Amino acid sequence: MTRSLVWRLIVKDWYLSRSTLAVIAVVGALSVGSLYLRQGLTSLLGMLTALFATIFLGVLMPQQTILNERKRQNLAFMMSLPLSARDYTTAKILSNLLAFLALWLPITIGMIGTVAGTGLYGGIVPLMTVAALAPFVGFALFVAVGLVTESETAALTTMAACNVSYSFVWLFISRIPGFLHDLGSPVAIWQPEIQAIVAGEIGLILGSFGLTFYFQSQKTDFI
Amino acid sequence: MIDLAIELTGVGKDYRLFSLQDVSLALPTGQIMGFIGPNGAGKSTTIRILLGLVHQDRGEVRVLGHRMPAEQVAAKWEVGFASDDMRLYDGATIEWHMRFIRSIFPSWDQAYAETLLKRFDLRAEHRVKGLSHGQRVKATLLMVLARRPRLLVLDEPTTGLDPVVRQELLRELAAVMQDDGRSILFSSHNTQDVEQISDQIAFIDRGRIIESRDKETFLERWRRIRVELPGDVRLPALPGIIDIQQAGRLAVATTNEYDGQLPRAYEAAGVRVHAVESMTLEEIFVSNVQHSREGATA
Amino acid sequence: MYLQIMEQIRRRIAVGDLKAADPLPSIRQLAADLQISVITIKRAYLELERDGVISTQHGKGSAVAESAGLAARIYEQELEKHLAEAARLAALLGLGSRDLQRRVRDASDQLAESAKEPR
Repeated sequence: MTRSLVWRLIVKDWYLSRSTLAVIAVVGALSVGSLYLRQGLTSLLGMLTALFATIFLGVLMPQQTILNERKRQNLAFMMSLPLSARDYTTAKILSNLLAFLALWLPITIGMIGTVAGTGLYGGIVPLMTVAALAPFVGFALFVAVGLVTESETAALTTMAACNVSYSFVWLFISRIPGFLHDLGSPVAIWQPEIQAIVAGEIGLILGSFGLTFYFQSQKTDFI
Repeated sequence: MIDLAIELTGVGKDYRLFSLQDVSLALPTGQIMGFIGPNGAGKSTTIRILLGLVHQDRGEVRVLGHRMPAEQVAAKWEVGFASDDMRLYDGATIEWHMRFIRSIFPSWDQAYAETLLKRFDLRAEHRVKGLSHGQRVKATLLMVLARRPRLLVLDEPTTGLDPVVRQELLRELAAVMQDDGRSILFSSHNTQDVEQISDQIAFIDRGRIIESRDKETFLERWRRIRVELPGDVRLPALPGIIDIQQAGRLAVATTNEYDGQLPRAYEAAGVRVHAVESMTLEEIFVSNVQHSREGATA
Repeated sequence: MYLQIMEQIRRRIAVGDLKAADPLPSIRQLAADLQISVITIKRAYLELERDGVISTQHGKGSAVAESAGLAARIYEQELEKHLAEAARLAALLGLGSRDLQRRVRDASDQLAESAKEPR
């Protein structure tokens, strides 16, 4: 019974954010489409637009579904329904995550697939992976901090801190011995440092969501 | 059927600047309880604890037999909650909200919902964003009433509503009470509404329940006794008198434990009793709060 | 507040709206119609039963009492009440029983006067 209720909440979130989702979907589709054109500049622009679209979605969606819900006092209405704090958290994470994946997966697979498919630029793939996961990490942190602290300021600050941290990540990567050489390789070379970074990104994503559940269950004042 | 729709025993909750202390309430099934108290007294906190939205630090809470907050999901299937700080979604219509609630609750009565739409003068296709305050409150109440829940918990449902709308709401609440298996708890500043429609009255101030009993007994026990003191007769201190206002030879004594003996006791002491008046709930409210605060600081 | 309900019912019986053995609405029904708490209606019915104005049968609800002359008796009860109040006020004012009698007679005459005058 609760599962269908959680699903209804997810659909509700998508319905209420329909305009945002629609715009991002269009932008995303065009960007992914341009990737397949393989027309150098267009594809590059397409990639960049896609990237920005993902970042925007990563902020807008949680903002609308999580932070605004509390700001606009809709939370009391939700919690008057027969669901637990855990159900609510699940629904929120899923509605955001599924929407995000719907955009991020095609773009990431499109980008990496295109590059790998050429058979010539495989060396870029590890770097692209790190870069592709970056918006995902930001998104996961935003959702987590937003849900747990219910503070827009805290969530935005975390997002900003995350983005700043990535400059250090790029710096670190550029210092990896032999990195520039690996970039030119036609095949992907996964240096242990790169692997560690990717593992760290995935860990952060999973950890954010996991810790969200933990902290939400500890709350004694849900409103 | 369960005896008590709501049962709070020794509930306590501590915040930095405020705490609920030893709150105990009982609402028998089929009755309506008016929950009154000054602003900041703890009405909203108590109500949130009832809904499982806030976890109590001490004490037991049972709603329709379910322990809260552990069994809040089970309880919320049968409890309709509306508070004045609750909002429907701006970006959706009333119709959308009705369909949403209907898809969740099998007890939704569409015919009744449509009757309420007419009675409350609402249009289903209106977006919530464009509604006035009164219309929004009515829409929120519609969502809660049309489900026909066994227990209605309303936090200040009539605040900010014009008299016409208030009467409409009272009429709907009174109609709910025709079913002796349904109960209502509502908090309000409007002592007139509470006095009219409540079976039980609970008074809260500064986190403590001052009084909680059925309305008739309540109104029976509070009296104003107007007396005249002839010559140099002094007003005797009688039990149950909680306040005395004196102006020259005339005095007014307020009691919250009236029994027929009091006027006679005064007469026996040489005091002339002019009148014994009952008090409105509003007068009792003010007197009660003053009295409990004096007692606390004494 | 229950006194008001009692008054209403008494009045309706006195003017003949409700006749002997007529059934009264159920407590909950009346409460819903008047938008007044159930407990107030219950109290009113209880007091009316104690005064012999209505009778309640378990499971069947309440009805106007069967006794004849009920209407007259209601007015009797009201007169008693007002006389008691008049006596009390007279005592407060320091009027003797003779003064009180005179005042009652004056009031009665006044009523007769105003009844004669053309509307």
